[in-house]
Amino acid sequence: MKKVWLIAVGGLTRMARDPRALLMLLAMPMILIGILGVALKPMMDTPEFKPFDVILVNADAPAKPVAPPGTPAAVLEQLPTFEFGKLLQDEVLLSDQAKKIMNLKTATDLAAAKDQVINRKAVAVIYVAPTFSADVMAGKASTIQLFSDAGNPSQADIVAQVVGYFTEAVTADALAVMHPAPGQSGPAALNQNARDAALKGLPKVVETTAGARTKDVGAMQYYAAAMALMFMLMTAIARAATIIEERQNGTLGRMLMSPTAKGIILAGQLLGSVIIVVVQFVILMLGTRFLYGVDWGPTAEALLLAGAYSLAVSGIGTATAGWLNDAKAAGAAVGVVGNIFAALSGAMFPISLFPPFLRLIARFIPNYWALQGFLDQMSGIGGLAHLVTPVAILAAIGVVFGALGTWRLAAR
Amino acid sequence: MRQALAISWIQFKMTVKSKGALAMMFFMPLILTLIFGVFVAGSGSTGSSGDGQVYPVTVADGDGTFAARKLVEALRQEPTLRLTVSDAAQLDKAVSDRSAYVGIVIPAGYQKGLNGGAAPEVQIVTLPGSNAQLSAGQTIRKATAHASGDYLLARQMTGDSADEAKLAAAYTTIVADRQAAGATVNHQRLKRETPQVDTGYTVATSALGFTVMFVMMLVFSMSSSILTERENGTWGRILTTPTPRIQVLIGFLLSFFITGLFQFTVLVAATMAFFNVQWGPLLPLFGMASVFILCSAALGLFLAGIVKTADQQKTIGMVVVIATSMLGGVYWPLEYMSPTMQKIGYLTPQAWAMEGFREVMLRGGSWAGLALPMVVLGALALIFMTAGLLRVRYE
Amino acid sequence: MLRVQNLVKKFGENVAVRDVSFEVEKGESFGLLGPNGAGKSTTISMICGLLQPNAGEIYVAGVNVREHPTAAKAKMGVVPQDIALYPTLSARENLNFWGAMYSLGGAELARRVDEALEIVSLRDRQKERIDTYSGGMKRRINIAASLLHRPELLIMDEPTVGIDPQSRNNILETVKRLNSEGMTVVYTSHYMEEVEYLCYRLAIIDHGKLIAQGTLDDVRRLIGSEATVRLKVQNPDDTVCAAVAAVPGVTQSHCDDNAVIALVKDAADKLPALLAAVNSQGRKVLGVEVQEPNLESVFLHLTGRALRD
Repeated sequence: MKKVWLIAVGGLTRMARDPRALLMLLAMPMILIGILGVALKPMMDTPEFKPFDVILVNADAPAKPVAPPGTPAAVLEQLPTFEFGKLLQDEVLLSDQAKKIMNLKTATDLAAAKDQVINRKAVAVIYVAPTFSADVMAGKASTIQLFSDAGNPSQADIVAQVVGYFTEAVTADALAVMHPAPGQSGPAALNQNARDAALKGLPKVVETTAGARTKDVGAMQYYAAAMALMFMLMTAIARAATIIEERQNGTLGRMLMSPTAKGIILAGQLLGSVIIVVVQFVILMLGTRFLYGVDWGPTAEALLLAGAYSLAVSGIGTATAGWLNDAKAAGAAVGVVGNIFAALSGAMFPISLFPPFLRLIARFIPNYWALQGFLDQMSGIGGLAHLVTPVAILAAIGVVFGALGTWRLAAR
Repeated sequence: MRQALAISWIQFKMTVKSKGALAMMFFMPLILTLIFGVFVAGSGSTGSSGDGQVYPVTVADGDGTFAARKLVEALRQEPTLRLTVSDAAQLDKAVSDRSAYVGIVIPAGYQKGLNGGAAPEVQIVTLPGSNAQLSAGQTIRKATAHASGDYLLARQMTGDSADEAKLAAAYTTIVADRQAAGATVNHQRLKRETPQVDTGYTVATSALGFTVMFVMMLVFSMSSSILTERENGTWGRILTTPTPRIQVLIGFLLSFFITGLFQFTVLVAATMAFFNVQWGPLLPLFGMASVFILCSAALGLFLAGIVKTADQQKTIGMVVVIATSMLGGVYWPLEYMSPTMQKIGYLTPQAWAMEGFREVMLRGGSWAGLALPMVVLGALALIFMTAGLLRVRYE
Repeated sequence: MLRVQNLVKKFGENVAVRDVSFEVEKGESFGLLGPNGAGKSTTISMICGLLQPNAGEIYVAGVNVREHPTAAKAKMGVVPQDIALYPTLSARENLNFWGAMYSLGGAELARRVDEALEIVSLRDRQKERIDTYSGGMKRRINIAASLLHRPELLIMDEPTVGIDPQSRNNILETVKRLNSEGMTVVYTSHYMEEVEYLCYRLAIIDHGKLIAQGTLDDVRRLIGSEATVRLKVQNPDDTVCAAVAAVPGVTQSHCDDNAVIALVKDAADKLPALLAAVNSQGRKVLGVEVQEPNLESVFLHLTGRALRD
């Protein structure tokens, strides 16, 4: 056991003296976590936009509800006038909420307004046609035109959404007018109070979390875990390049010639890798906690999970060393495997949006188990009971790949 | 010029012979585009409705009444939701093990609550940090408002009748009227040039983003060849030949450029063929690509002048490219970021590249729209090339 | 063909080359000899334009290297100390590239590449990648790459470092042949026998200074008829060394791990006295080796150090 330890420490010392390895070990993940967290914070938490310009061309003319034939003139006189275009402008687009998102400008010339969008002076033009109110009142299909900058779909979609809220409300009004309660018709159908009473029971939609999750997981936490896992994997595969180099320059062969059992030497290599990866995790965990205030959940559980993951990725690293012949190929594998595993584990995109076969593939990737484990811990679903599955699977991956890699290396 | 061409050709040849470089050139961007643009966004996503994302949703109906059934039906008809019906326990499990993006729980007493004006609570069940409040949440809210509003209207129309057949008939009428007489938004995206087929936005931007990032990464890593050559003696040997230094430098710069352009061309062709990505008109596209690649090559040369070894160059290059790509709007549009971050973002060449490429892909690529990004990238290229040339060591 | 005048090169405080001058005639084979770090490579780098001298001038076939570097470089072929080739490319691809660097192209280039491959006898393996070659084969291609433009002056900087004896002989013969065909050769090495075998004239450099210069015979004559005598002794020490030095006719002596080494005039006559001197210290001579005057002894004579220290 002492020899295992010595070999492991030897590997650690060599790594600590290699500036490139240290950079990849620590600096790069910290930088990326920081950038990801800072850049994504507004997007993930509360969308914070610099208000963008939107032009309204409101050609809408006031209109009265269409009364059934034979309605007395006096009643017709009393019918209220509707001006939906103006309503859109005053109540929706100029509301305090909308003002945070967009600067509304008004115009009368639609063609000129469209030119402004094409020339990127505004994100979109909202055009309300002259007959819009009349169409709504007559129970006809009605449309608000939205012309947006094709090069800026994300902001255009926000405008579309805001206008969509309005058309929803207008549709609700129109439907209410068209389907009055028995005995009521025409202007009576427009009785706001009666309708409000009827719609009072509209359901509230509330958000809750699945399981016993009590805490929210912020963007910074999510990416801290995802990136840490990606770089731990990369570190482990980069170790494979070192092992291949050692095999090529004969140090490994020399070690194998010494009266030390092959298994012990290779176990030493594996242990060295596990220690490096765990140390990397601890530093990243402390760094993100103190620099960015990331909450990793209970420490003991986090370390247990990180330990199991380190074993898994070290096993994969050893297997890589066993199967690849040259250090350069292993170097290339660092980036390729690191990125693709991270992507497939849901580090960049929620895994529930993957099609079923990708979700299935994800289950064979250690990052998946570790990431979901960390997210659970972070969201307060703590407790060792929840860690049994991920830890067992990760350890199994580590043992299987470690054994395969060791067998290949020893055979060479 | 023969020597410069010979240098660029041999560099190019060595790059395409190296497995690692090929992985970075083609395999990575195509795989990532496949994962993000196609698998994740749902393939065949065309049209202009933002991204073509379909969300797997599990719904648990704890009520089972007419109103609740109509709500499930309304949810099922939403094209962006893929509905699975199950019970509350299953739903929790599905959300927990990430097989459902969100769960929807219709509580027992839903209809009774509607009838009594007591506003029942429909729950959206998510995982923390999964941002269900974004588009899937909106769709669910909208569908819930429609189904419940239409139910209440139908009830009012039938005079609070308990007869379900009557209620159903009224409900059907109202839903039909919503289709026929509702107010809608007709969203049309304007392009400067003649309109053309819209690509799925997600696959297009994924392909674009990964192409930009990996082209830059390759050019950066290639520029370390100056350092590798110095380490293994070929740089010195080239300098012992009667090749003027300016030709040597042009040769190396040209090799970065040619390799970058080669990679770009292959990626454009591959994403067009495999993922049906529309890259827009070719001339502006390649004009834009050339300026961007030149700028990357200049930056790479500059970096090679600062660092000491090829290993450093590769590692630092990767950090620099990934970090600036995030800042420059390669991973997500700059508009999603706060104003301060946007300003920082525009300090990176990638931001201008994305700006220019989006102009080509989404707006139809007019030279007027491309002028600014091209000038900025060209200026950056010039500055860094000069700085790089001054820093290259010959001894 | 090559004129080097009062060359000086400093790296900061450290003076690597001080006031070095020598000349190489057309068709000559000139050796530059010195231990590692003596300033050979620095001198060579300045000749082929890689380093700028702090003072002094270099002329290649009458062309000033500082003023017309490109023209001067076109006349030289340089075989660097490193194997400066692209390992992932084949020998032929490498030669095509280096030929292009000397502005060769088309059929002419193809012919020259064939010719160069012929010279180093690697024509049948030209399509294989350099990194699959043995050390000796790499060295040969390293030389071939400098011959493509048929240089008037071939500069070789330790072209045989780290290869097996057979490959080394092959390379030496190649160089000898090229020289006999009229190519001027400047050859640096710290192997005496190579320079003795190849060169007619030579210069010895140590600590950045030329300490001897002339034909092989001239230089050998510096130590007259002194031969090197190696007396094998168990654990030689200063007392033995002093005893040997005291023998008349011994001009210098020093010890290494298992022998006392002495420069001796009329060595054959002095052998009994030398043996007696060792015996007088109560030591036994385990073996005797007498070497007639050679560069090794010249170097020892001039610097008091062995060349390969």
